[in-house]
Amino acid sequence: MVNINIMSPVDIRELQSTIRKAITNKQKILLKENLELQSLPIDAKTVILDLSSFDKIIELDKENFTVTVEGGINFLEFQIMLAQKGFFFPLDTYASAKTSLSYNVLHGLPSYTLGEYGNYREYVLGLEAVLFNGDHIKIGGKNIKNVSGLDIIGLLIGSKETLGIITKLTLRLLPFPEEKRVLLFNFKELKTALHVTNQLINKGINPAKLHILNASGNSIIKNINLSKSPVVIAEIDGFKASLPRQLDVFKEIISGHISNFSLEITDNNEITNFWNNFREAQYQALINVQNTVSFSCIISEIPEMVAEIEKELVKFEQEFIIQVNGIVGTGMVIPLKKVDNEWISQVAKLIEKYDGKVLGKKSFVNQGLNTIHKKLIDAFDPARISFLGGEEF
Amino acid sequence: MKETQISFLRNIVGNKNICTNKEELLVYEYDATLLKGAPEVIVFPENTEQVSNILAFAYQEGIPVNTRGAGTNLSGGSIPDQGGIALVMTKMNKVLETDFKNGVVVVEPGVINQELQDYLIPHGYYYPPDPASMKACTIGGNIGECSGGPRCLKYGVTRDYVLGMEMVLGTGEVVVIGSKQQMNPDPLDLVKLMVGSEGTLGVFTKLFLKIKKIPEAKKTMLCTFNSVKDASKTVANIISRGIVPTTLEMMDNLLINCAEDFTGLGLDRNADALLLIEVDGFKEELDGQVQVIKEVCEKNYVKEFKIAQSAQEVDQLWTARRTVIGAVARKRPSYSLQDVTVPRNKLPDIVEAIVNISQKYNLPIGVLAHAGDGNLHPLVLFDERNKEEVKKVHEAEFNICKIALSLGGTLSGEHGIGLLKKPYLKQEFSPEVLKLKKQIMLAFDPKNILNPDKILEVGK
Repeated sequence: MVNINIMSPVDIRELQSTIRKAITNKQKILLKENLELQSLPIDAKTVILDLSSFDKIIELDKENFTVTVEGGINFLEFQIMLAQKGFFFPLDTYASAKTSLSYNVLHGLPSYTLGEYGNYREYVLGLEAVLFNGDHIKIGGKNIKNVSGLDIIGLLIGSKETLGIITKLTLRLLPFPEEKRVLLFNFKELKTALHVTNQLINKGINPAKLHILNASGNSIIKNINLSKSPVVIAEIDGFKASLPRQLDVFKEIISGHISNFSLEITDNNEITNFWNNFREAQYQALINVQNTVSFSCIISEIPEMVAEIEKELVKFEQEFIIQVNGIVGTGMVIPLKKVDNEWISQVAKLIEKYDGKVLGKKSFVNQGLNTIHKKLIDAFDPARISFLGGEEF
Repeated sequence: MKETQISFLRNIVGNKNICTNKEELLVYEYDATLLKGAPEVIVFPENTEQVSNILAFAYQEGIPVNTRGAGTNLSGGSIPDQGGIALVMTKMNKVLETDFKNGVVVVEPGVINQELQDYLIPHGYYYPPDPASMKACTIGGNIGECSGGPRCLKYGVTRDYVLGMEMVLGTGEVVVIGSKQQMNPDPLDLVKLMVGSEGTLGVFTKLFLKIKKIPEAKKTMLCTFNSVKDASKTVANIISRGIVPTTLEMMDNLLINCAEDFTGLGLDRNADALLLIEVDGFKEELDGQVQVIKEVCEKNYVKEFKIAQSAQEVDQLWTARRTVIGAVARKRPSYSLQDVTVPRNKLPDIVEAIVNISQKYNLPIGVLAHAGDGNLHPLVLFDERNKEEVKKVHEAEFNICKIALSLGGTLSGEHGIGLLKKPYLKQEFSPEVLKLKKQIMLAFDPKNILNPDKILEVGK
């Protein structure tokens, strides 16, 4: 059992000091949240950063619809606080309840609402960060548009703790949609469910959330008695006046394909509870195994790709969940028990066969880009203290 | 440049795609600013291989390369101020692939924004970024500058629509970053970094763009006010009532009059401010939104609230908005278009400051704003032949930038830094951030040949 070296800086000065000591002592730095989500070869020297003291809301600017908040705040608690004050921050991930805002942004965790509501870069207007070279930087502010030089904000988002740690963010907020509904449908086949979701988008219906799960995926839908077949979960939101027609079009498209179960959740509290349960169950499934494969793929390739993954993985006699965001073509393959590298590489191979990409795996191979990548890391992390960016890892 | 170097370039692109005589070079000294700088040779590559060969040669010889689309740049980014090669991408202007299933279009960088829209609209799709120069500007230039436009309030800027690209690095190496996929899973998002990099990191040769379905309905409103302050408050109040319009554009009295002189639409010449508001979406939801907007306008003492009744009327209103920049040319021989952004609630403060600056320097300054974004384009009118006046223009613009920064704003919302705002960059960023930007530029372009010393001084 490794002794864990947790550091909990309370302000920027302490965080800078922690990072500078790590540079001097040649220690690796890692955010605490990773310990649960990933199986990592940490040792007693590894500095585990706990950002939970960076948990304050600095300013909720009601006129500009922005919030400035410290990065260590729990993502879901932050969203609940905003909702109580009548503001909507639409991004929501499987790890919202368990991880900090900074962790989600730094790892670019795919939002359930990716598609209709876009991704982090559309909401992060400004940030502060302590880089792994020890510098504390501030970029951006409350401005919706900003093209003053190179987009360092965009580079930090999704950089997976390879450049530095985001400590404060100014985020764009939205007004709450007037109404929303969650719909669940069982399908006979996963492939059909995926084709149907493509039809929805072509008809101009853009659900806020659209998840497709294989039969085993039902295990992460709690308190609803589904039959064991693939399921589509959709959340549709918008103005009261247009929602009924959107729902009608949705149901019409889907009606010819569903097997034997459908459910519409209309009560906002029930919708909140549904997603809380779903998020929790997905998170538990992930931390149980710690070796999930996340992917992105061209939407039109997903039905074939997923069908082949289902077929080919049978030989491993290992139950697994496939979860796909039907709007943007991201997803996960989550084994229900620990798996070996052969299983992981088989899944990755199948994803790549359909030109899909495994998340977190560097996709470019050009010499020039590798040189640029190295020089960028030299600028942000010259002593290579990032645990996740290190050569060894 | 030596004759042997020009001959080498001639061999790459052929005689028809190279210009060296003085008259031709003169045409490429300009962009849409007042700045000038002559290239030594102009080349028009027709494909990626030619771009690659040109850059490999320029890298080997240390020749500056200024990449250019239609030259509508508003920050001096297209000015070849260090001589060298003007790499004009307008012959790489094909739509290579449309993939409606995946909501993606693949284009070459020289495609004109409006031509792309014209191509997509019959299929029920559009590309949301719509800069005012969309009839002339190229997609490559839009991406280099991270262009905006009126629709950005609801639909975001160019950055939000670029999924990936093929580009040529300074060494001539051809690389692909991102893809047709809606999400870029790379640990460092180089695609986002390329957008708005102003030609300093690489040359785009193929672009993967996200497109959207055209909303089924829209409503356009024209509202006039007796004060800019009332109009600005209206902007903030509309959004806090739960409505994010597609566009929320503002013009001040000077520009209302310029637009009216030009279009004769019957705009209220006495109004201090005009808002052009558009909402789109499903047809059932629009009347409710219009009603809320009307209530907000009335609460803020709207002078007149008018809903466009026909597509023709909508077109006329947009013509007034899009042509107003050209229309000011009737007032004075020259104009300079600024670009700053402030938090939305600071609009009245900056407009008041601009009025004071206008009086102090005795220069007419009109204010055009993507008000919903807090993005202003003060238009300073003057006579370029009057050197004293030109000096005052520069001082006035520097003061506008300083005030924008003091209000929590930024130097540029959608035009970029280029040469024009390079001297002000240290007012916005700390030395640590500037050093980082320089390191990023050198990581991509160690010899500093790609649009050298634009954005900031990199040196050799």
